[in-house]
Amino acid sequence: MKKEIIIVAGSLVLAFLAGGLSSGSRDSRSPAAAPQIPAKATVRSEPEKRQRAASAPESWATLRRHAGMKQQALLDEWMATGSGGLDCDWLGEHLLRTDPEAIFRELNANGLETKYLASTWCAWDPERALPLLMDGKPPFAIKRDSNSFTRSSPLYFGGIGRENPELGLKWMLERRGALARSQPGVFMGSEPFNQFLAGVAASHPEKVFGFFKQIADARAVPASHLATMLPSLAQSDPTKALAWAKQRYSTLPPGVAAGLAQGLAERDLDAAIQMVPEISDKNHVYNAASRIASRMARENGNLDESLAWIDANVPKNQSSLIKDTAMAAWIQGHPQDVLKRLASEPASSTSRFSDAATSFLQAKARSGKLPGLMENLSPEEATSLRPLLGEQGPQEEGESADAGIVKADAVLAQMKSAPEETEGLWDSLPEEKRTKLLNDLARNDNASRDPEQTLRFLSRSPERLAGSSAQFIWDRLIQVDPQAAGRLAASLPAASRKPELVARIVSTWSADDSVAAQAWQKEMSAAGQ
Amino acid sequence: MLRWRHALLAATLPGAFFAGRAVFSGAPVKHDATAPVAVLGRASAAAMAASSDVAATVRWLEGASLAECEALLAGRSLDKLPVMLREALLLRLAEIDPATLARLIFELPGGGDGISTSRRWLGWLARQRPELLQARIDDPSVPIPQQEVLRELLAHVDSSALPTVEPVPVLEQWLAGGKDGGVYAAIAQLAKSDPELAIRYLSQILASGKSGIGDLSRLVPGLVVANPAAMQALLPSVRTPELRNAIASTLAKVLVRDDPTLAMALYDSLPPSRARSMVAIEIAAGWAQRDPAAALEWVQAKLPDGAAKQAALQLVLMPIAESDPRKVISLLAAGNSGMESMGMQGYQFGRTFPGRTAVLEKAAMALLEEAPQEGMQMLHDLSPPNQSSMADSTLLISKAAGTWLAKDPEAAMGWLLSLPAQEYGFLSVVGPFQEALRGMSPEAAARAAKMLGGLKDENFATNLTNFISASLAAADPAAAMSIADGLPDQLRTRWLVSAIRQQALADPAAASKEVQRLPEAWRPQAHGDIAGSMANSSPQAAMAYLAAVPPAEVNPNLYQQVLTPWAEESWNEVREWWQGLGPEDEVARAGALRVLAGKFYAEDPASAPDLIAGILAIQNQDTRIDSLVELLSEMAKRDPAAALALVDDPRMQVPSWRKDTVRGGVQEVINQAQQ
Repeated sequence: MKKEIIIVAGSLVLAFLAGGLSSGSRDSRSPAAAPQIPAKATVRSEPEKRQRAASAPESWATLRRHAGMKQQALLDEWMATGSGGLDCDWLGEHLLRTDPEAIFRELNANGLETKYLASTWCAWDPERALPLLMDGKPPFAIKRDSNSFTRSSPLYFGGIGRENPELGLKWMLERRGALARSQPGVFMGSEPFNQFLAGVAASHPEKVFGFFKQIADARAVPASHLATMLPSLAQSDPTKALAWAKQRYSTLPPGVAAGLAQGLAERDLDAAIQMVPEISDKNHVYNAASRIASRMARENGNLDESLAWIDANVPKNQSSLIKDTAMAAWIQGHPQDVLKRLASEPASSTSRFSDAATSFLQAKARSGKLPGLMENLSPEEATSLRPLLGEQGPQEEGESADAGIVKADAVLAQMKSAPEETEGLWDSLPEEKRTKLLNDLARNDNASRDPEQTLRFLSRSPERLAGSSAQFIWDRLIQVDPQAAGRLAASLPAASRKPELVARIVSTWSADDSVAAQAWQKEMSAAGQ
Repeated sequence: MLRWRHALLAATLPGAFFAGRAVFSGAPVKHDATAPVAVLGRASAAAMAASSDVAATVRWLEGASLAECEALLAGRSLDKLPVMLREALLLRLAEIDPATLARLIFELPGGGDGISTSRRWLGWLARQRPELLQARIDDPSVPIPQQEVLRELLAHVDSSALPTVEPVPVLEQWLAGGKDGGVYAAIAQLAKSDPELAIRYLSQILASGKSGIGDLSRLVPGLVVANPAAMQALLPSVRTPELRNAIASTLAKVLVRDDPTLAMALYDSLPPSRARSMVAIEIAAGWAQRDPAAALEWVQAKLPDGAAKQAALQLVLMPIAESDPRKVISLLAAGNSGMESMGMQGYQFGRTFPGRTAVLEKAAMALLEEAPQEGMQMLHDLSPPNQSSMADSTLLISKAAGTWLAKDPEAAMGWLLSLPAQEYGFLSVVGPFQEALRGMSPEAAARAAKMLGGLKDENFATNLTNFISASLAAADPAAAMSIADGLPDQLRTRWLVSAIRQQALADPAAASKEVQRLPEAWRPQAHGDIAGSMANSSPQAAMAYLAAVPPAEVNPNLYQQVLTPWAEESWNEVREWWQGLGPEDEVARAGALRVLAGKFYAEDPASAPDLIAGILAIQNQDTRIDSLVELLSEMAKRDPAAALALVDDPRMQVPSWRKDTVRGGVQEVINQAQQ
């Protein structure tokens, strides 16, 4: 009996392993093991729910693969996929939550920056990240950037404001001196508190005023910077924000009034509008007016009213950007009306409006939603729109976007098969089409794949060779094959651009091999070039 | 009996086979009653939640029901789950119940910013189930910042590049000659869900010669990690530099970790090109961590001269900078084109690397510990290779000198003074030098103070006096104050001014007792520093302090550093203080008018005659005109005619050379107000 059980068990194990072997390994690194592409397009008969998730930002293949990997292998992969602190996905988050020392050590050892990783860590796991980063002991010491323009602090306090504001504010007040020193420039230490309050506003709006009072009473930020916190405050608790400001100032400083108006805009539009005249210096009006105008446009549905309000309340030098914001908000909020407006008064529409509306409609066309929008138009309206849409392309989006590239492809194919005909084609093109073709060539993948061929075509006339397109293609050729670039340049007939071209080749080539580059340069001068 | 056993074996073998297949392949575990795997049974959510086998739990989630997902979560918030399980759970919910997916993200603190993928999942929901997001936006109890995030996602959903359909048909259609704007998105999606298949399509795309797909280089890292050999096989057919460089450098990064010889073979297989340089730099970066000596040898022997070699050299020298600083400094000194990692030069190789100065600094600081004089001499002998690193080498030598001085003042000073004055004099104005002195111990500061009198370069002596004094006063104010007496007169005053300023930050009352030791001309500034520091905790106390200072030692300008922040902070208190000034507070009144006349006027334009009378009473011409300008800045907005008239009022005695500037300023305010 015992023996039989062993046989049964042994067979099961063997069968289990055989199943494993027959499946092949997903992690196989042999190209031969890669699955073959289906011979032609087929709709896979998977359950509907799996299809729905086919476009999800995650996949079982990735998850399965990562779930089976050891921590060090995950870290290696994170480093290898170029996530060096700049573009964290969940793999970075996983590493930070499970072994933050390891990931910081790895970045330090590779001489890579840790400050971006540090600030995202503060956003995701603030209670763990902040004490370690504020202490700054290795490996969590963040090297200061010597460039004053990018010397922002690696610490971010929005996360702790969101997760545990009581603890967060305690930490911040205990270390306010260090915080002020860590935030150079105009913010002088108020930025951490702004981040903190914005975090509180996102999760516990009812607590914002209490924390704001604590910050103000502790004089944790310079008084003149309290105004920068008012948007978060007014948005979360407009009544208390207004009462505080009225009690504090006999006349509202412009920055304070502007901060209040900006915060009120989302919560109490009328109150925000009434606050605008109190902004005594209109240079402060931008953020508030932008919020107010876009909310007016989005909710009232009356774009003209919003535009008129902007004209009446915003200095001229700021109004056009705010109008753009308002138009974008209106377009998003009232897609049906966009076409009607274009149809009813295309001639009187400002060009900024038709630009914004057109790019919106193009996006709708891409996602297949344009016909749905067109349904509600009367036949007359549809007719009157046709020239506009036709001219600007939403209906022929695929065509118009591809047209230039298709043409460049055709020219490139012709260069290969019948170069003389390409010359004939070039001669037949009007001036503006020639410029466009050159630009298209510079952007074209095939031109990059065979830059020599393209450059031969370009070098047949000084006009073609002089444009920025030729420079772009030269740069690519020098990177891929500097010797070929050198040969090609040497074979060109003497032309005025030549010394610059030689310099360009030498400069790029030198980065990879200065000896070869200089030798080539000598050859060129010896040849009298 | 025997028959029973055979039957059992026959029944369970296929089950075990398929279970093994599923486990090894990671294929979805199906769990309807007829599936072979059902033989093994399905673990409970509680068992999976307790399991430490993440891979098994992920596989389990792949077939989980909604109830099982919720049981696994067991009432916890999503951010409390291990990251991989959380993502698996979210993906499963995306398949079976997006509404629950949305709810779980909405319930996170702040609407999800505490997890890295919330925006991506919300973006997916915006495409698949926009009504779920809209309902949340319309809920007034949702904090506004959360509503804004969702509104933004909905607004951009149509312009997003993410596909809403299965990628394979899109790619097939495009390869067959059809047009489809979504082809980049399709291959990007496939690179994520099935990288092997994506590599096959990539090779077909390259072979097809079709263009217009966009820059594929961003997809490269994932594909290389999934199958380096297949990607290496593609490399010869890739001529586009972006794609070629990305494949080559990622391959090198991956290969060098497994086996540096494979990466070196990759280098050898490539023709001279940017891609080959990038491979070399990745080899240097990856190998230097494990065997810097071998990596250094390879870089020196193999790489042709040029910026790429220099970058590689810096990468391999960094790990040995502390253990072998002499070698590192001499090798970097020999290179005539140092590469700093910032800016275009670093960018051209697709990765950051330690700059020449950073490597030098690490080595120099290590050598300074061991043999300071030798270290300083080596740094001093480095010839700045080019204009941009001249500034860097200055910063480096100043930091080294400051550090040495803070540690061993006699030796450091002796070395510095052996140099010509123009070679050390400038150090005292450089930030890192000052920074290093700030960390000086009180003992070292006291020793350094003794040597100040012997310094010949006057600026150097003065600056050094300021820093050492401040450094000592911060640590031991009593010692700082007593040392002053041993210094020559000129340095003594500098020393005291700096020490008083420093002490005022911590203990203004104690600092005020030292002011009388200063010559009279130096006292007002010290009083100003003390008052400014007092104002941080109590502006009223600061005002009381200034009021008690003998009139000869105070001037109106000192009031600014108290009044400006106080007026911003508590205007009502300032007004109260202003109204309480008596006839004897002449200096205070002038100080207040100089910074606040405009504010007083704006609050009460009827007070103009009083304000003008106050300004006319100011004796000092500069203070009077500063006050007038301050008043005019507000008056011009409300009463332009009166403001212009006041500029020309002979009683104000505005000198002719300032009149045009003042009038121009008034005119500008008037113009702005009219706009």
